[in-house]
Amino acid sequence: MATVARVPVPPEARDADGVVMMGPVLAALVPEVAALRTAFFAELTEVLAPEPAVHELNRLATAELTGCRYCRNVRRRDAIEAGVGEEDVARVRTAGAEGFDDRTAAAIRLGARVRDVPAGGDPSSELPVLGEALGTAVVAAVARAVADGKAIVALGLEPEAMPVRVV
Amino acid sequence: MAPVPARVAAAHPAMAAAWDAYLRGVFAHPALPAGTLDLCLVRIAGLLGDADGGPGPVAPAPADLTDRVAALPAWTTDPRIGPVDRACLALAEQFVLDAQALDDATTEAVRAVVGDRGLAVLVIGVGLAEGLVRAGLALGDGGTGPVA
Repeated sequence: MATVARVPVPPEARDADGVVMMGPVLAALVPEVAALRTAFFAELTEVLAPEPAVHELNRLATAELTGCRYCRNVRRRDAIEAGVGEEDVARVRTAGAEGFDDRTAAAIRLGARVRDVPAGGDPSSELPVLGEALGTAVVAAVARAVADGKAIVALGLEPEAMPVRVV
Repeated sequence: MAPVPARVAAAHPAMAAAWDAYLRGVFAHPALPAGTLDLCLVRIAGLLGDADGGPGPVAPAPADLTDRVAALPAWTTDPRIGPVDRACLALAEQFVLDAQALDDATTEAVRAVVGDRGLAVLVIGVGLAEGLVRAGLALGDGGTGPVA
């Protein structure tokens, strides 16, 4: 685990609380990459908007995989804001899809097909329950969360006393 | 061929186009040698159990990519894998297996050959590659293989 940031962190990447955001770090170093990332996130955000609770539950589960400390904290807050109860936050972290209604459970199981090792399997039990629009949105969202959460860790943007926010 | 899984592209064309553009922009970024991220993508596909070897090249493939892919089974010693690819593959493997365990020596080895920009592009690209392979596996959309 990194003890210092592995890439330069410009002053504008820190907010008033000292929280480092990966977007401005990339914007300073590789602005063309940051712009493409921002454009992708904007489109993905629109796709996820109709089902905030389902996606926040999958984000919570994904943060457990990536080990991103800040992600774990911020995802809990965002899940509560999306209407997820405290019990469900705890349950998805420890028991996965167990105990959720059929549709939510299917979304969490499909998310697990993306984040687990080995990944994959047969999604035919989840996609009919979710439909193509939500099912493929879950897959894209979890793939993105794995990518960014692990990138934060790899770039050393979450050392002690330097929490990081993904924007 | 678009690297983004076809089912995602069919259900969400605008989002898939933005994902595709992000992938292509990162994989073709000049901070890394041509083909390095596609080589990492094939390696990552292997680590994650993708029998197809991933969705195929994301960026325009250089002439020697086929040889470099063929050398992957012995990438730590095969002379067809140069020092930049070797440093990047070491980071990519550790990223996939356990990003928390990635050490400073591995990232410094990358920085020594491609600088800060190259390190940032590699980490973002490896994350995108892992996400892409995982998405394809989850949807049963493996792709066309490493050098289609």
